[in-house]
Amino acid sequence: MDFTHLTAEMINTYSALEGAKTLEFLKQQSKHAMRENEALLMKILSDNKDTEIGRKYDFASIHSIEEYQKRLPITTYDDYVDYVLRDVQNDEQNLMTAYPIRIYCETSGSLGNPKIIPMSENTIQIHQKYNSGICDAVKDAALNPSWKKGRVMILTESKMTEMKKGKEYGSLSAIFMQQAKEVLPLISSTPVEAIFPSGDTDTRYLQARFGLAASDLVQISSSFISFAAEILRYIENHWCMIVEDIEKGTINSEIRMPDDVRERLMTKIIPMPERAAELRAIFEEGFDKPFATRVWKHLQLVSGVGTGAFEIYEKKIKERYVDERVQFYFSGLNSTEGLFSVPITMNDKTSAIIPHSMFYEFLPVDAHDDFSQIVTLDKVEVGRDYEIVMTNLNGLYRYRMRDCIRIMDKYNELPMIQFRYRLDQVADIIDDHTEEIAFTKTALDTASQLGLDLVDYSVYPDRDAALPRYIYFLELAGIPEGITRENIRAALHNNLEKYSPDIQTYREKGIGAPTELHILQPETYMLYQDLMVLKGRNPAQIKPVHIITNEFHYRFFSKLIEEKWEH
Amino acid sequence: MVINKNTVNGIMEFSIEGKLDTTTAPQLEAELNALPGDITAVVFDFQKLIYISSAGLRVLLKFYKKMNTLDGMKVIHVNESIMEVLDMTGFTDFLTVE
Repeated sequence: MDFTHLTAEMINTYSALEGAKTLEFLKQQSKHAMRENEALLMKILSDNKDTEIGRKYDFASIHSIEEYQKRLPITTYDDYVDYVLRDVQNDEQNLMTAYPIRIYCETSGSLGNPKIIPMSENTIQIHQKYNSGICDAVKDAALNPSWKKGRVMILTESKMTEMKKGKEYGSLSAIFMQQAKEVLPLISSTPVEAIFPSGDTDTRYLQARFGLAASDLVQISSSFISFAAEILRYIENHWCMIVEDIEKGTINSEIRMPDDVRERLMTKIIPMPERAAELRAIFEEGFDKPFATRVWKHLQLVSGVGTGAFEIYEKKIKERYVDERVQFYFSGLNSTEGLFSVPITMNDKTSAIIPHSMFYEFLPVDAHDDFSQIVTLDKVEVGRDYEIVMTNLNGLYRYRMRDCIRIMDKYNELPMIQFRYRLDQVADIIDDHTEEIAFTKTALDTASQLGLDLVDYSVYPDRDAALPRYIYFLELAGIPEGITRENIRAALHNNLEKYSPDIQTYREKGIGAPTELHILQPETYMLYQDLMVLKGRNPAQIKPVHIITNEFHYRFFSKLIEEKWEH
Repeated sequence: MVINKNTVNGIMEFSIEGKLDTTTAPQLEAELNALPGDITAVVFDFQKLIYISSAGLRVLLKFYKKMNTLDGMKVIHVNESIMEVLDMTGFTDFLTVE
């Protein structure tokens, strides 16, 4: 197909129109959400009745939700490992699902080892229709129309590898990027060499360099908002080198990449002395004012996951890099297992569930695994927290996601949810069940109160100490003159007790100790990211280590403490 | 930090003296980026290295990824405290350390 006649405006206009249709369809579905969702379940059971799982539980004889709930147990990944292995290694078909499998995806694996999830073509279509489509419809409604003409700094890296029997393995985003490859140069400032990196390519440099050269940039797009914060910090620290490269039309010789990649990129680069002069003048003014909206005059949007553990990065971006002109599109609850929800308005951390994406069941978090309390979407209560149990189009049935969501509102019959925390990302020193969000707010409040430039944090529940306590590890890019480690520790301690009152109770009763603090060496979190990539993790899937739950992480962070702050 | 270099039969040895931290890591990185094309392997002698930080580890990691395509790299004469850092940060899982 010939794409040479297309422009960014044409592509974005088309996407926004299609997205608007999908959004309208979702709003219509919202009037009969339960009916639609039940119909989806019956279709999944009918379509999959001849799979091995379908025969095991006799899907053919299930005609109601109640029968389904009685017949099938609640499942976790362990219940599917054998099926996945048989599929991947022996090419056995029709085990979990009758729907054709397009790719095998790695999950983020916040805890433990990443898992392989087969991804059906049906699921991919749902993602494309509801996720990308509705996003562009919302952009069209909320942004200045100039958004359609500009380009996006895409911070996604897509890697696909071939497994046994020719099966493709990679991330869901890799599929979408692959499908859009021909038009990427029209809509993305990031070159394809950074979106589909080969060898040891410094993708961060390429994202920043080509992004800065693009004066028409309208959006920074990432899977997690943390990547947007990271690239802006990278620009802040390396602008001199990047601007020189833009001025001369070069790639600094110290930037690593395979020779053939460098050669290809050099064919795309021309000297841009005027743009370089503009950038240099802005950066030489310093970073007391947000630079992103000065460097990119048309910048209107930052998008990515920004809820839960990622709120820390949203705050950083707003405080340091952008002004009030820039809006945020926070991705809904979206994982390899499925597309759970999609935001239908800008700057909104609440998102609508999608009746045609999966069959939803909701287990109240305060039911403490009493599955008899599971309800369907028509019976959820606003203000209550639930764990989603889902039946999807990939062959997962009554699968526990271990994500805690809160029902914030209802759009007609459609629950509007907000991600709260990973259920396994809750820490205890005794029985406090302190959520990750509490640790995040503690770190953010402390940074704000003391004027700290917080890069990131991790918390270790130290249950082996004489009196149990939490130990914070903070990486700080800047500490104001006169602030001591004890000032920071005390602030963390006070804030944590505010967000997790049980901790105060333990201390007052003499069964818990005050919060401790270690300050990490500069570049520790970047080192962690680099190490995980070396170990084969997909960069787009690496989540921050906010709660230390294993020995490796504890040893890693413990060994990289900045000694000068310990005395 | 002082870096002494010595090349024998295509193997370059870097003897690093002092601290490899945020301030000095760029110096080592520049040396490694300027490696002659006929070098097939690199040895880091850490006998006089007294401290390595996250920034220093990142330089080693970046270079490891590059050298993995050639005959490789190794680290020798590592003292106990540096060894502990390499071990606890997972570097000994992939780095040859003697």
